[in-house]
Amino acid sequence: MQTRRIFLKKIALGSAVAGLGGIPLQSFAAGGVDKLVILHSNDVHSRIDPFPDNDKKFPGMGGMANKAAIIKKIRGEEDNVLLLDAGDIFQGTPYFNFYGGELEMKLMSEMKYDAGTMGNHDFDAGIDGFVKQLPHATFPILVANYDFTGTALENKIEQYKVFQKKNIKVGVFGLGIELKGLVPEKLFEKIQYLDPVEKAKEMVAILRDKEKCDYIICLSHLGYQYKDDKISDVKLAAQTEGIDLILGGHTHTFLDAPVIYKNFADKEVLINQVGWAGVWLGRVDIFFEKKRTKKWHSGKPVKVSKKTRE
Amino acid sequence: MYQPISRGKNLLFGILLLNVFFITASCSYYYAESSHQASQVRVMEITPDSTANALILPYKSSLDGEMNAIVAEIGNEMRKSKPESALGNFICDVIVKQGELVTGNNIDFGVYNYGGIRQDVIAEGPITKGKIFELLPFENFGAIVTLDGPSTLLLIQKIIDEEGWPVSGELQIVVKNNLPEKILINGAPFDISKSYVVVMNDYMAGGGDNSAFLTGQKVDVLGVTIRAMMLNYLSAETAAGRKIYSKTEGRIVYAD
Repeated sequence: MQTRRIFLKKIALGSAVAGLGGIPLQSFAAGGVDKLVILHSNDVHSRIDPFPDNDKKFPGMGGMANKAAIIKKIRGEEDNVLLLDAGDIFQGTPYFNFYGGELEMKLMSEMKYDAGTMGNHDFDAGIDGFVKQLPHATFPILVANYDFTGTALENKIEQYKVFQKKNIKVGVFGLGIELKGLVPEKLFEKIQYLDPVEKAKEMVAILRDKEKCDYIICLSHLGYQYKDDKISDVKLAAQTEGIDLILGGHTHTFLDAPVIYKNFADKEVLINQVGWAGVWLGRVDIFFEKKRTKKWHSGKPVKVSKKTRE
Repeated sequence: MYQPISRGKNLLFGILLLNVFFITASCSYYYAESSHQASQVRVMEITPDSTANALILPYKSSLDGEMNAIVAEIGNEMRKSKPESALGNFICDVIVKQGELVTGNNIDFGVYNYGGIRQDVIAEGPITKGKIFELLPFENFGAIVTLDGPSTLLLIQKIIDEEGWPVSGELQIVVKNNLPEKILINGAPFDISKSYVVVMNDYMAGGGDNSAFLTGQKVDVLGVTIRAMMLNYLSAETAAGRKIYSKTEGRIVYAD
């Protein structure tokens, strides 16, 4: 565990220094191991243009055309890429005030995003404002814990989506933050917020058991961590099992590298978040081993003795 | 856990059966994560994608003329931080002055939710209209809320619980053990029997950022956004030949 964390940090540091590409490990390259490259953003907040060179915090950083170039470069090097966004696509620059998020959606479609989730600021032009921009998005918006019944978003948002990425079956679901107290009610109308932990358990059951996914990603706009009891990515990880990776947002947290937490079953969960404004693009490469299923699908009923049943 | 075969009397038969099971089981595979590596890719120092740039261009061209216009000269760098900061103080002072200008009435103090300030730093030097949009991007209107004494105290406690929300110069709070030890409004001690006129944004006045205690009070939503109040203020100061300054001055002080 400890050695793995150090390994991960070293790799993260190494890649940051080396620039774009991850460092290919010889052992993986040789053995025919399946690789999935997950790229992700969060809280881009309508940052279409890069920050100016004289910016105090992010000089010359970010910009959608720069990000598009990086994504294209990675797609040229890797053939199994999944591109995801964890919400708050909208609000923050005049592009949103004047065009309502149209350009953001068009650019994400051009970059071939596979899915996104909704952040609280994606409601800033109301439900109708978001619905209006959906035709510009060629990717689905996933939220499992909002009940959209009776609103204009009903049947327009999916709870989860399964991606067959070559050999790897990836399940992705979305979780949104509690809107009451954060977003004016006139903007989110009748949307009902549902317990994210319970919905996450439900999603995992569907994605693992019914959809037979090999890897499960939660796109979360809950926020990384809070001082109080508010549900966060860190709490979600600890209270659930079966999620492999939580890609978070909302708290604008710049994590130097993905952080490993233990889930309810004491298995590892990875949490990542890349600040805000699109100045970083998260990249997590997962290597998979092909394994024989543990359960024997013989079609014959397997006799389980009382003694062995747990 | 599972007992794949029933143990027959004949061991040989058992081994034979095991082989048959292996053949059928071999058809089914799954993929398990064996390792991962990660990097936070810095979005910089790359030739921008031409297709994306072409998409952006028409939008950018129509905005740039207006948004690149210089609206004021900032005299000193202003940062946002808790419990008190030059940037937070500046915004609150502006909404008090503009609120009084718009209504023609006295305002006791101003307050702004910390999360509603969307830039961490405003640099010294010329500032563009676009930067003001980035600082105050929301379409929130100015709101004049007349708070009774107990509600004013709830607001002060909220400011403390949030570890210092920006307030205007009219308000001074001394905090001890996370409670207000001293409250001065325009130099006078807070009086719970009095009402106070407070300027804020209509998001807060409507209960936003967990300010539900503010609803049910007398609210006048102004016909002008917070951003417009700021731009109007900057325009007047610039016209008068003045640079913009702000500093921290002990509006929120911790006694412990």
